[in-house]
Amino acid sequence: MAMKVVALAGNPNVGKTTIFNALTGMRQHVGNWPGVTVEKKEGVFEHRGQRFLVVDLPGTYSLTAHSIDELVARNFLLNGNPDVVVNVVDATSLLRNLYLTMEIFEMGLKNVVIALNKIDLAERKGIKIDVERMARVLGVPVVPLSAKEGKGLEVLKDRIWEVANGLIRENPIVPRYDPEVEREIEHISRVLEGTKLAAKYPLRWLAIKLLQRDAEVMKLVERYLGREGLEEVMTHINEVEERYGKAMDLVIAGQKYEFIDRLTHEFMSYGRPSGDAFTDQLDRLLIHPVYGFIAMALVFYGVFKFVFAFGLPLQEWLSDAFTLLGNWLAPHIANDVLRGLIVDGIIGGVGMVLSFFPLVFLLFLALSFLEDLGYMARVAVLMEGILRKFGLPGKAIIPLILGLGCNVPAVMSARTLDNEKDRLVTMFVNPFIPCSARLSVISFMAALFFGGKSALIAASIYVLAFAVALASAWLVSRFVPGETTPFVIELPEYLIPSGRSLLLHSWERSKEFVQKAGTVILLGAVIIWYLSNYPVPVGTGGSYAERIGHFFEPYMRLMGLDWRAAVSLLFGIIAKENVISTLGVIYGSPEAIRNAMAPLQGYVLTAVTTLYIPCIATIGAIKSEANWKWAAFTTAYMVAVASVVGILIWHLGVAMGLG
Amino acid sequence: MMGKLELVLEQIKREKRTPLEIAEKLGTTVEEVEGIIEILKSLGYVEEIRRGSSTCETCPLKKICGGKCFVSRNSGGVRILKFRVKD
Ligand SMILES: Nc1nc2c(ncn2[C@@H]2O[C@H](COP(=O)(O)OP(=O)(O)OP(=O)(O)O)[C@@H](O)[C@H]2O)c(=O)[nH]1
Repeated sequence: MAMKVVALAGNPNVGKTTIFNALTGMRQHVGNWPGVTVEKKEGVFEHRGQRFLVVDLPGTYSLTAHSIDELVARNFLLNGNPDVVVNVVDATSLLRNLYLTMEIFEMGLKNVVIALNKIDLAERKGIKIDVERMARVLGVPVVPLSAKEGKGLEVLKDRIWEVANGLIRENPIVPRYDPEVEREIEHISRVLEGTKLAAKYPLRWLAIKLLQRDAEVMKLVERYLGREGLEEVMTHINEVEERYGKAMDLVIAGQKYEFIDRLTHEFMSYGRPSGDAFTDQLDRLLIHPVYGFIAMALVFYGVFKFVFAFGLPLQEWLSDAFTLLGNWLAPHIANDVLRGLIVDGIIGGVGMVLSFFPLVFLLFLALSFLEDLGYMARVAVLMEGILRKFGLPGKAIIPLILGLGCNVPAVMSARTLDNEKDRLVTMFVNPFIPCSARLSVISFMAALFFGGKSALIAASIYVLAFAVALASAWLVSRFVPGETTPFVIELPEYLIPSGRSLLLHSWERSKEFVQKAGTVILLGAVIIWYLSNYPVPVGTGGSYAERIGHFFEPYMRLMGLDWRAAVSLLFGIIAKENVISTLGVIYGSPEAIRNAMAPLQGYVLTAVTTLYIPCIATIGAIKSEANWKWAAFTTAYMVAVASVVGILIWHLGVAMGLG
Repeated sequence: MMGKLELVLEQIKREKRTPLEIAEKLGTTVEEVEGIIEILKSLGYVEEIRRGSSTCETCPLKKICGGKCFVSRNSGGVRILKFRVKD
């Protein structure tokens, strides 16, 4: 006996795979649908002596021709001649699921079985479905299932067998539209009536798809009826749309949805989901324009507290370990030059940067935690409102959050924004967001100069950076023409993060920091060591480093800084961590830095380092995503802003007696 | 009279940012709004911004960062749907 073909259709994530596996067991074959890279799964099962070939169709929400998945599913239903179509629907979200069901019914199929899956979950959510009534209303068999628990599968097989053998007469309900739409459907049907096309496809379906301007159906009509035939129909549809004042696809989809809404009331009563009420309330609080901000401030202050409380002791420990290593190594190296290079240059410079690894790691750990918990999505909603007020597209929140890690991928991700203006403005402000490299500078300075208040000081630099970014966005968006498009942010469910994945992700992110220390920072430290020891050692006024630094010193004096800061900042262009390693090489030790600078100077240098210029890689990214001009403008603007901020903080501080 | 599909679309245009806000405005559940958004998406009225690997693939820092930077995760769990006005 020939195998009967069963097609499995349904929305994504309804449990199709679970049902497919339960039906076919191990007898599966995975390949591709012809001509496309959509996965095609087939399997075989036997029931009451009949063999069935099950074909798993791609999960889709409708059968329009907008995506390959939808097209594949639709073409199989239309042309694949399945003996039975099992439409898997999720009992917990029937409205959206039945939308696909109605599209299947509209295709004129009369061999559908509805597998009402996740019935266990629906019961837990308090949703009551009268299955018999549902079957009567829809006009096809409905089988309640809990595929995960393996319940209901035998009944499903029975129904499949019965439909395949013609024992069930179906009368699927099809959506009815308002009289005007129905009139148009009838009109178009009449035009197509009697053509070869009508012999192949259901008339009503063709008419509806044409009204919705379905590209594939338009091609079909052109193939069968010629250009003129298609044009005749389309001219008519143009008139209809003009009368309606909107696109017919939305009108039809909207009315179909209303039809389903009315239908479901006949066999379903919605329960109030018990668990959701609390999270909804939490969401309301967390995205509230006032309470949300208070919550966010507390959360991020907590993050800094956490990072510093656990990170600083580790950092000090590492820093001491590097000093010990240097002291131990020094007597073993006979050559003066080599000793200086290794002990002062490499260990002094790179070691100082590396000792900040615990802080970077902990920051990523905290951010990953908030992310996995689902909190970052709430922050995104909250910030979005502000971003918009400042002329940034709300969607720029993603690049801004990414910027906390590294500005380069953040700049690249601006690509996902819709228009030129959004992209340019987002790229422009992104380098102001303190990346993880700057985190090490910020925490270094905060810990060095401010001890117990370091978390607060570090937080203030972040606030300053975000404020400057927003103000800059506001300013520049005035001059870049273009408009932004609306969008929705979905709030994911809250989840307790798993410790393992947190550690894994934090390590993956912070690994970069270590790798950079071994490459860019190492190279920088060697160069700085050379510049500060040749032709004569630093301190004599004649080293290259001093000569370069002195050139900028008059400018640096405006913000209370000297040539050493100038050299550090210069090297920081390559990578911001170099600011620390340069100070380390020039001064020799953290203590020496603290003795040479006042806290106010330390604060100014931190603020300037955070704001003054994108690093080389970020400039490169802006150039490749926009153009040279935009990269140059961004850089020049940042230098200017950092100077103004530095000078302001210095003079305000001095006036307040902090200098 | 506008149906729910159009009402949701209208709310998105009016800068309602989350399914929760939209659901409250329309007096329905978040699940239903999310379902409607999926339908709108398959109609082509709403597009999901996918931030796949392409950003990482073309990133100049790929070698150093190993493609495991922030981007490789789904953007802080933030899934953004953008709205596109059909021509
Ligand atoms: N509570 C419950 N969960 C189920 C049931 N059936 C499937 N699931 C769960 O629903 C989720 C999706 O199931 P899949 O079988 O992967 O769904 P799918 O339709 O193949 O999904 P796509 O591959 O995205 O199309 C999984 O987490 C399943 O464990 C059920 O009857 N009850």
